Amino acid sequence: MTTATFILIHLAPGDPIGGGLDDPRVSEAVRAHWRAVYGLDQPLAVQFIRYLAGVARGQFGYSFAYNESVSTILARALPRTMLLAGSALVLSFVAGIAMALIQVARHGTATDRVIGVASLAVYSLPEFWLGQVALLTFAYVLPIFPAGGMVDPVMHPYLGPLAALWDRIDHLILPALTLSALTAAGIARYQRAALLDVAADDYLRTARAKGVPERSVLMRHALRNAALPVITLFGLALPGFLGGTVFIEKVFSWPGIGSLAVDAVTARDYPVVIACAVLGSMLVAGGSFLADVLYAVADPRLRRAPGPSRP
Amino acid sequence: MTAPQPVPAPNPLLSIRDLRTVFPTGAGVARAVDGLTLGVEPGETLGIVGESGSGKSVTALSILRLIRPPGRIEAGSSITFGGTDLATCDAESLRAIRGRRIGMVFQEPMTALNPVFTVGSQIAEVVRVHERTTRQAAWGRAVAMLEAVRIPASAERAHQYPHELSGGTRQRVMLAMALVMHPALLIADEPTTALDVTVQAQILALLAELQQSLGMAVLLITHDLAIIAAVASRVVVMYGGQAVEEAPVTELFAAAHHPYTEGLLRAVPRPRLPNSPAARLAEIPGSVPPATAWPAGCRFHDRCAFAWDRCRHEMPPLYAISATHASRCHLAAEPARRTAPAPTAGTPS
Repeated sequence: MTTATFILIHLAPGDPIGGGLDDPRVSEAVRAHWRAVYGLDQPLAVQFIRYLAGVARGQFGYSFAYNESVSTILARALPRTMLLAGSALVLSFVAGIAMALIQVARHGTATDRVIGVASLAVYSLPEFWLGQVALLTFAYVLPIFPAGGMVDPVMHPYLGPLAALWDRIDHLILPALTLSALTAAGIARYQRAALLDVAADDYLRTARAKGVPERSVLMRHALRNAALPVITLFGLALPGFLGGTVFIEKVFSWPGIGSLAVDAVTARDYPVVIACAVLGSMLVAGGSFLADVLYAVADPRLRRAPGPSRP
Repeated sequence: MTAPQPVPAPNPLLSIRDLRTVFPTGAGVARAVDGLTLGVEPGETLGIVGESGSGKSVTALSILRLIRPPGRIEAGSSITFGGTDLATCDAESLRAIRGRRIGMVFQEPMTALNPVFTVGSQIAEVVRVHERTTRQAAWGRAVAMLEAVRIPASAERAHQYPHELSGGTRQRVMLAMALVMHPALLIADEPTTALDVTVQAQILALLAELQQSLGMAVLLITHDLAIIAAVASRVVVMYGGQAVEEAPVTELFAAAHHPYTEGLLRAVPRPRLPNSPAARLAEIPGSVPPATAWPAGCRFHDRCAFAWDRCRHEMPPLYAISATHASRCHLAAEPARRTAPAPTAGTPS
């Protein structure tokens, strides 16, 4: 992953020095000086070896654009992204599963069809478009929410603890909603299909024969069995979800990993770009691992028996 | 011999009158159960026997209104249980009866248990949806019930999942689930069909024993006459969505009246010498017609060796043979025809 990103970003034209020192009055000698300082005059192979040596020691290098260590920058941006992506992820699962339950409880009715068409429509929209339209609609035409950022840039330091908390939530709602809308639509479609798949299963008839109320038949017996496809979706959707985070952060000026990565690519800030890519791939791998763990939680048939009686 | 149907006993626990359950299909409306009337007395074991497509399982599902839409019970059907008409009562009254007053055991214990919950929790759930009780109390009842169905180490077994148990144990769990509320009626739909023969015998013995100790009535649905002979006290033979013969079990085996019942009895395998002329099992020619197109007149006429014109045009009523024995066959009105069977059986269409 590191290698691929390293090669890709160095293949792109331009270098970090061009970005800040491209004023024609800056002499070629000065640029050469700074290239030498950062080691950018070395052959690519040497640069790569040096970089790897740093990574092996846990150092991701220094950002050219920020003059700070990459670790410091990431440590600042990561919690912000986690806040946005985490809230959106929870929101999308709750909303998606709720929509699917309503659809299945009202299967074949107008309610089912309206939610179905709406979720298909949302599912087909690109994030950046949805983000910009949401911003235009709810921050400009109907100014309900702030237009971007994590907090009010002027007033936040002067707010009391409760008002400051609300300020954060207020800034979070629109980007989180926008980011979750797409995933929620996808989850609703998968969950509905999965629920209808198990709807004819014998154990649901058994539950009804036991006198279990229809609500619990659906929410307990059917939903639990229909969880597996949705857990799979969680593992598969995570990369797309992180991609979506990049767009949404940029559109809503959210100073997280996504914004950082976009700016770093533009500025050819090699170490930051590579670190963001590595972090992203770690999150995807972690997501797949989490999905595997959730599988076993959801389906006892996938658990390995601890005793020696079973292989 | 044209007396009306036998008078139902005065106080049936369950009384089904003129049950009609239909399923709209692409090929027309399937009339799976078409005018079935029967009663179950408290404490008795009534067997319903018939081949696939005779409507016996749909009858079982109809009683607890478990028919999946678009299938439905037609207006005019009544299923009276303890003063409540299960065919028409509201969902909450029905729910209060399901699992509490009427227990049900299904054919396939592999798929009838929920794979993601422990068997203990699935039994305890029955207690918890019908009684205000603590989790622990409900769990205790579940474990006690597992013990009652003779599952050893029941306290540990309660924590296991269905896939960790054998087929016979699973069916015992189904029984425990159906009986934990001590229902007045147990509906058992082919409870042993999916099991090995030795396990079948164990489950049937257990069923008979629990029936004794709990004093409940059992409605046993099966295609297997040997099971009927072993456990039922009265039998209803179903064909084409209707009852075609009804009798106490000894009388049915000794003196079956309906040609279909006779055919079923001849088709039961018995030990014979391998080269004897009768070594080949008798079979009933043809197969059950589709429920979308029952034949006119008697529904069995095109498979019957005795069929004559009347059978092709006039649906026979349930003729009373005795106070407890009834048969839906015109032979009851014209017994002379039995001695002169038609030269050949009808050919399967």
